[in-house]
Amino acid sequence: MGTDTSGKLAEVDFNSYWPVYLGIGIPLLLAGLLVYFDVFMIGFVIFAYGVYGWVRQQEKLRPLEGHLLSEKPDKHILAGITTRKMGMWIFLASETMFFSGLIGASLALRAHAHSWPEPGEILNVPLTATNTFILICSSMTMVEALKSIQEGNQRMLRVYILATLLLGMTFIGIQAWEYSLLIHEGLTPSESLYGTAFFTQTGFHGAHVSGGLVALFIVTVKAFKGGYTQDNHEEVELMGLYWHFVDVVWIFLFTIVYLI
Amino acid sequence: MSKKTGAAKTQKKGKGSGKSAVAESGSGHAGAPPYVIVFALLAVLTVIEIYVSGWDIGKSNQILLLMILASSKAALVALYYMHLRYESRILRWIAVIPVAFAVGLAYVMVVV
Repeated sequence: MGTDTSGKLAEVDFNSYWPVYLGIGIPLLLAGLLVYFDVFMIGFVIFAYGVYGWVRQQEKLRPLEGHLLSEKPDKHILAGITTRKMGMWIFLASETMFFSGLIGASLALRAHAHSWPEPGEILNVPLTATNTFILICSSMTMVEALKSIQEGNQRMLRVYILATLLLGMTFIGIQAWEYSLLIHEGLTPSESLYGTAFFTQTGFHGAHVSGGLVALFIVTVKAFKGGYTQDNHEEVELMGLYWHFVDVVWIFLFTIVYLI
Repeated sequence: MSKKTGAAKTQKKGKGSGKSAVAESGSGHAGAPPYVIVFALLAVLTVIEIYVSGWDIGKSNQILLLMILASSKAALVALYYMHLRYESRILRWIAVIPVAFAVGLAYVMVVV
């Protein structure tokens, strides 16, 4: 990384407006597919132009590959943020919208319903409070795992990441047990609007935890093989971001579904 | 000249090479509370929430209080466990904008 690279980097335009073309083109393309063929064509042209421009820009940046991540100019808006981390945050932003749609729908159903069960009437609040505590614990062990590897402590990374995995599995186990109890008592997704709202919200959250557990398992295996070092452990950090996000969703679900 | 200042700034922020940029992000923030303290706060707030849900203070007061408690918990996790407090401005915006949408969406769905 000599001065010549830094000199070149200073001239590189890191901003890209090409994704905006894709953002406009793709919805038009899809909507056109459903309604008018003309709209589809317009969308396709905008989309294709966006892809062409983006690829061309990437080609121009190719000779500098490898230096791009580490040497973005300090004043640049994305300085210090890796592409993967940016991707994870944008993914989490879209997830926020997804869950707010689900929660908003259930609140709307409830606001317009004639009757809605009170907290504790059907659901077992103490059991789920325990489960909430378990998930908060797993969030702490996750962040401690990241801290351990940042300090270069392999042993504590393994201890904490394994603890996170086990706590996550416990959470899902208790939720499955809770589901079986509720279904046994007659609360099913198709039994009432309440049942639909309950199973849709907690079910999608459970699916996110399950998906997180698969990723966590992969990270755990890699940690036990010594795959992370003090200088190279971004996967642990990204895993943590997702895991904490799932925890944040649960904080709201527990309050809205179980306590209100 | 300007390049030199840039390099000095880079070193100060500890974002020298790519590897150390990854290593630095989210670690050893001066003045950050220990993770265990955040955990204790989350646990205490959860207990208060359960207590409030059995409180007889009127449904709307209860909902307001519970949502404030839940939001505080979520903010603690986002700020300290997800390190948003120490992240760059753009990441904070990416996290906050959808939340504003979420609140607006929920409001419109319930009230309208």
